[in-house]
Amino acid sequence: MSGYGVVIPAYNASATIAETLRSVAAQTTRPELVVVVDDGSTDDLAAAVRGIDLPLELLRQGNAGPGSATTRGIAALSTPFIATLDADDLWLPGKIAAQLAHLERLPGTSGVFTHIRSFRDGEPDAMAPTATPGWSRSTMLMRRAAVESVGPMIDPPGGRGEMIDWIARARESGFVLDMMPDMLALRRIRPGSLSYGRDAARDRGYLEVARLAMLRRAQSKASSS
Amino acid sequence: MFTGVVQGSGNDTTGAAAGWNRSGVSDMPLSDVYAVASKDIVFESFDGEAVVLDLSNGKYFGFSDSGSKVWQALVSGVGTEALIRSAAGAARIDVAALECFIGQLVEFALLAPSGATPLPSSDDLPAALAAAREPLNVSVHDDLADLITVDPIHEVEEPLGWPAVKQVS
Repeated sequence: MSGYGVVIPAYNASATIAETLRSVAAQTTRPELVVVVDDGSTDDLAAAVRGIDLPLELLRQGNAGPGSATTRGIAALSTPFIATLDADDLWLPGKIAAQLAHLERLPGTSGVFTHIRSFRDGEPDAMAPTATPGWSRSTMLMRRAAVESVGPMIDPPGGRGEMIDWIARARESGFVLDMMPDMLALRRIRPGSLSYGRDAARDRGYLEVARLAMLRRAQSKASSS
Repeated sequence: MFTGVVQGSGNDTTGAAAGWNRSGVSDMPLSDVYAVASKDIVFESFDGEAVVLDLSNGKYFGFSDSGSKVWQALVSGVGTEALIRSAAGAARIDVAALECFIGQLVEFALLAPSGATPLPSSDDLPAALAAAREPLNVSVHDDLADLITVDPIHEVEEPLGWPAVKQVS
């Protein structure tokens, strides 16, 4: 049984989510369920996701951050594999099939990510010169047991860095996470999106993630001595 | 004594950075005053504990209690002389340790000599340093480096218009 479900946290993403969902629908391996978690959007997400040929469930919560919304969506899935995706990014059609094949080949691997390439919003042909390792939500495919063991995604103050924290915790728990060399996802770059540019509040999110990693290390050292 | 530790995997600089002689004392003379070395160095104090992150390479730095206080003073522009005077009553911090610690921060490219006018230390710094329980220490960690450097939250490289994703060095 290699069924997978997809979690897409969405905040004011009505302009992009249909294209994102169509890239899921275009997968050569069809998902059992796609859970879109509306993280307190003020736009009409329900209208934006209507009419796409996918088994879709739309959940809503008050704005709590992408990590919280992802956690909520994961809890709504019962598939053995869980994929996640940002509401403005895109998958290439063979992404999930390649990742599932990877995990079937390597039973000791708990999760697999892919390379990712950026494109400019509104200019699908304007691609970044190179692909980079996508240690990110939009490339992740995990075995359910590992996801449950790592626990919730925690949004640091400032709103970003939750994937860094969660992936770090998965590694510290001993789960093997692989990075495929293949470029199988596209990241949308647009001014004003959560992942564009830099500001002090986001830096603080990173610093909080670093602090938590050091606290875990100190605790683990204390409990092993 | 070099007290930095390197955590995690991957290629990384070690404590044996260039610029240190066999006794671990920096060859570099101290500057009168220091400032954060670049805009890639971001930091925050969490309940008095300093955490520093170098966004250019994803390495982050943790400090002992005395190290946090000295870091805060240095990035606030407190002059080296004032800092040495403030540490005079601290049993665990002698001048050599302070020089070594500052040298490490410079070696890690967190601080750089500044041309600013050195500021006096705050009135409560001597007591805070005297009350410190741990010797001066900074630890460097690279276990999140590959994750932080590829996270899309990076400044756009102007000529290309793309987020500048830096390679882990």
